[in-house]
Amino acid sequence: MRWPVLAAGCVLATFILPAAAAEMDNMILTHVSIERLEYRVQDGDDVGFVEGDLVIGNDDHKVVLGIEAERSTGGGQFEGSEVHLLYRKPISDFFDVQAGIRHDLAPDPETTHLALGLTGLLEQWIEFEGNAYLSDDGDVAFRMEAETEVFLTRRVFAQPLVELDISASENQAREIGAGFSKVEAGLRFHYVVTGGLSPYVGVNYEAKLGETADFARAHGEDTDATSFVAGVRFAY
Amino acid sequence: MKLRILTTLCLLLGITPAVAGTYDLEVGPISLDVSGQSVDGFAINGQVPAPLLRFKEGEDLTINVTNTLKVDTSIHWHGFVLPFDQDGVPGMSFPGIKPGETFTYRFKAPKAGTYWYHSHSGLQEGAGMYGPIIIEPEGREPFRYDRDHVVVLSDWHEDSPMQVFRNLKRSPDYYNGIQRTVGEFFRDAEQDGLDATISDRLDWGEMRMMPSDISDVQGYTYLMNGQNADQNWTGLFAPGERIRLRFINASAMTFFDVRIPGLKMTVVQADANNVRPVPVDEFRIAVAETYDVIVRPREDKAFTIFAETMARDGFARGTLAPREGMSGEVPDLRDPPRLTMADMDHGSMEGMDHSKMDHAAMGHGMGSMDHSKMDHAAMGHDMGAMMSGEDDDPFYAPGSGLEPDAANGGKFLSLADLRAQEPLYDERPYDREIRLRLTGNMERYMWSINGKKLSEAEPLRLQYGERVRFTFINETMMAHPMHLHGMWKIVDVGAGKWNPLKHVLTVPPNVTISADVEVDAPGQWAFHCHLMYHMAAGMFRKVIVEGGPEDTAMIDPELEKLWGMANADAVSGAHH
Repeated sequence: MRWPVLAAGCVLATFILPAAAAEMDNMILTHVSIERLEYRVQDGDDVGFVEGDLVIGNDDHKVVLGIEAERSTGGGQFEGSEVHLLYRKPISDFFDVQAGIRHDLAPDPETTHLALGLTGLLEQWIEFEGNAYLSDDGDVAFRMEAETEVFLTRRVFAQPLVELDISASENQAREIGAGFSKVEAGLRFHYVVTGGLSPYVGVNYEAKLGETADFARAHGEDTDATSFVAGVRFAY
Repeated sequence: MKLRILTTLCLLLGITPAVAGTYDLEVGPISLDVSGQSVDGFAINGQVPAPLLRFKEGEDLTINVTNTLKVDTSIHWHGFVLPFDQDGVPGMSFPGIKPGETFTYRFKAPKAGTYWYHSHSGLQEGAGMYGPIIIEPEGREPFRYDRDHVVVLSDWHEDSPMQVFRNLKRSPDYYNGIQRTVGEFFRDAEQDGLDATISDRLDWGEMRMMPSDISDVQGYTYLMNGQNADQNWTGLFAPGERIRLRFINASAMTFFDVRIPGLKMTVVQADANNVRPVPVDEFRIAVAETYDVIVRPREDKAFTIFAETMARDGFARGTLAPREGMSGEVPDLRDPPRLTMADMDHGSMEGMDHSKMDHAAMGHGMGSMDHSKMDHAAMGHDMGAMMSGEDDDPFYAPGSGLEPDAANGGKFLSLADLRAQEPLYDERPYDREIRLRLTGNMERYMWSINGKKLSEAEPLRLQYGERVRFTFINETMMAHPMHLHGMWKIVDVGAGKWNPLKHVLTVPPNVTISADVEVDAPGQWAFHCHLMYHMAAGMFRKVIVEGGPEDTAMIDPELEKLWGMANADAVSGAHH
């Protein structure tokens, strides 16, 4: 319960700090980005997936409310579902530092994490986000995401992305082992309708790794899944 | 009462009062369909562009501007030399015009030439609020023409200006429709070799810059006198007549390369100042510039006025014809230009292997030189010999990808070609130099001067009577049309007293240009990049001219407070 209060404090601070700078060159803007809203066709039940965020702030301070959720079409259960609330601030030309909380609503049990990380643009146009998490039961974990865009024509671009989860400790209840726990790799082909709207198709591969995969096997679950995806990226 | 005494006095002394005119303008909303979709904008007297205003040089003007909008508005008289409180910049010259209010501008019409007017409130000028002005001369002009046409170029977007600004802030390449593709990679590999092409891609990737970053906003519908390419605005002529075309670039963000296939154009005026005539085949007009050219079509046929955007994402088009309803051949768009390493700023190039780059080593060396201390005419010549072509423009970095070539292989106008027809000021050395680095962060869409946005910076303070040299050092990858209100910039093209006067000075990437300013206008003035979203994002300074005639130098302390900047200064000042 402490952490949501902390987060609310962050939000409040963001709007109080820049109160002196209400000029156009530092105005507070609101952006919604749905990075991936997609349907995944794979062995077994198909899956719906969404990842996106709401960013409110000016050049100096931002608040990010994000969501990532995955739901199987068969069971009607959320496979995974998390929300995060972060405060973000520039630390260099291309990078922001961010801190806040992440709350996992699924899978069971619900878990809250403190989050601290970096997001920005690496050389060669690689968008990078890396976060460290400290959960309310004391586990430390890391997640890194990298993606880029390669224009094939002026309207079609390929978007390779990878995401890697690492856990510093084992958590039986959440079925996560120590070490590399999950990898996701995708290749999506977008068609640019406007700079803020691009439908896409592609492939996505997800695999549980190491001890985390052992947990899955012990429950008779698949450890990996390859899916064909169709979806849309949208920003406003 | 005062006026009556003055009039009586004039009559007694046998002086006839100068011409005086009263004009009424009304600012209101408009819905305009020039792109296939109805879009809301702002209009003056219900027109986009706003009505052509014709004033007489020295005319005593009374202009009543009524605001029927639900938001504040303003009108700025672009390029006019006038009292600062009539300049029309909210928070700098006056409080702005509130909804329902009428503000009366009173000033004397400036010297003859082609000018324009536009809103200086928010982003209104990007949505239709601009129009042409002609100041007719008292005496004769140094060139002859039989008739004239105003050619207002502009850009019209279906996204509202605020939406465009938001999109740029979230994703600076949102409107970039000319990104480098895989196909281009293979073409380059074939032409320059695979190694060179890969290392070129890696160099750009290392800097996180885009060679395709020619214009921030594409996807506009480009207009000529408010008409799209299909509507084909037509200006009439009788064969053999000399036609004066008064080009005004009233765009928010778009540079145009203008040509009239089949006709030579003679440039006679730039930014309302007569220049020694320069015959050209093509010229580039930056945002907010004006160029007057004279053409003489002798044949009884239609000629296309073709204004291609610098990014080659579209064009504005019109026709010069002996009769209505005719049209000439419309050329194809050329390939978009690509920035080269020569356009890259010196400071950010550290750590790169210059030996791998063709022009870069040279561009690098030249770019870091101080052009202000060189005779540009001589330099242009030397560099012409150094580089492949003879006609390299000294006002672009050598090897620059932005440097234009005429479509027909002929003469493309350079800033270096401009010479004042008659110098406005005596030649004298400048008293001091103010160096302004044009800076920005493209990824965050932040634009600044000397690394500071308007809200973070102290105003520039000038002393009445001094001559100040402004030296612009462009450290970004974009060309910035810098506009100083109220005072002329005498651009150093190496021609001494014949240096041309401009109200907008375009500074291409990785180039340093100097211009002298006679500080003869008391008050406070706006000084900014005229790319509307660069201005909005902070590439802006307030200039305060201290001293001078007491009556005009009075700055209302309330006005000072209006500009949020003053408060921001107080806050940031406390930390230093």
